[in-house]
Amino acid sequence: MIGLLAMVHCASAGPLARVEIVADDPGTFLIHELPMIGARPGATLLQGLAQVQPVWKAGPLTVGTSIAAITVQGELPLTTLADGELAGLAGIQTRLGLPVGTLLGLSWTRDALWLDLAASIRADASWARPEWSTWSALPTIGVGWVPGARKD
Amino acid sequence: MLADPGCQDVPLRCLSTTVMAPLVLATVVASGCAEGPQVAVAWRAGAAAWPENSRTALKRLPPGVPVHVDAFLAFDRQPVLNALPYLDESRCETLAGNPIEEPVWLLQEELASLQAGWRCGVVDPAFPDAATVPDSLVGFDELLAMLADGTVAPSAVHLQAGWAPNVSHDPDVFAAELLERWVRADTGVELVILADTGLALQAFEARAKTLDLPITTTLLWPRLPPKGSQWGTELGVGLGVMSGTVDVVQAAEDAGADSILIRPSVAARGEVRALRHAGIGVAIGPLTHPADAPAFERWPVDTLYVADPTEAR
Repeated sequence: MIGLLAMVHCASAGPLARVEIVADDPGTFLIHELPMIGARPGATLLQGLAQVQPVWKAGPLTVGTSIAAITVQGELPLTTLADGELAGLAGIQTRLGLPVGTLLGLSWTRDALWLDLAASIRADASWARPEWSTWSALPTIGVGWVPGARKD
Repeated sequence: MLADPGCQDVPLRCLSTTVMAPLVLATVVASGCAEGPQVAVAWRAGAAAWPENSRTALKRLPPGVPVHVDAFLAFDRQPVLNALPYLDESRCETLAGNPIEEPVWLLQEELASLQAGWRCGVVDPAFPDAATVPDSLVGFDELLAMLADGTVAPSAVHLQAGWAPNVSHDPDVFAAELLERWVRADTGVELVILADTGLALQAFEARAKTLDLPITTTLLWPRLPPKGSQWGTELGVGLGVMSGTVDVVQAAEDAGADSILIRPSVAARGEVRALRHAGIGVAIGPLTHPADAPAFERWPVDTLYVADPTEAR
């Protein structure tokens, strides 16, 4: 519900921060889905599209909104490097607003390119079966595009 | 419990490995940790090689291979092996070799008239390389006779109860006709009942209990329309699973099934892990393309249903 409220808020007011072409949440596409592309290309493509995640600014937070995950997260700039900016991020993953896990990671941004390396820890809870009994942890990466970025 | 989704049975080893390793290595490890399937069942008796549910297919199966067949009841309550509640006009024809023009519903014909009027196995659009052996439908009693005399010697029979609302007898009648025949035949073969509704599975569970017959029940999921947009149904279910509005564990528990057979287009590894954690057996199928079985063998599932009989084991 937190995610839904935040999504409604940011959709009306927040600008687009980036689009994660490969999202770090739930982060299962590269590990679970991509190896299956030979056996079921259509389903794999659908899984990929469902994980594409527009991320919106919502005050001090950002809200990622994909079919597979809605994630509310805080992003803290750590340092400016010669070739980009490094930030830490921590967020709550939801499935259509139902909190199911967390996300912790580091992101690096240079011009229009956004990359991150994170750990995704989440339960298999769903709206149809809201039980948080089984958990999984995955290392994930994210690849995103930052709109309107100025190339120096 | 904290475990890598692909490594349910060895959580500590997998967790430490995947957390420490780079993503590419983690991908390999997560895939490699999964146990292979224990069983691969010949779907529709090996539909990729021979006409589905046919005498030819049944007789050519190697001994010891588990076999899947579909059954419906004819008008006279005789079970008959067929994948649909009607004769598929693309796979069947009249005995004179003419195409089927009007739908032939099994519920409206007696078994003897079905066998005397039509033959199937002419051609299979889904498996154009499969042998074509036009032949009459196989009655369930005939299958039982083949099991009894050893003509067909599978390790288990996975019988899909093709009960469908409005075009089948009552599920209690369906369960009684099939299971009482099975008990009388006393083949000694393991029986697994598949159905795509909890109503049908529960009817079989109840009848098996009265007959003191041990069976395993498997929910075929998701339920697809017999005709029309299967693609649309699978798309809707796939999106529902991803978003969390559809839950496969809930579906299996609602049906009271021992295990669940998930169609490959909607199967997700996270759901497979949740099913195993809930103590529900997991199967995936039917796998109809050559690339399917090798891909899904790496998943932590108990059973695969394979159309190619050479992959059955």
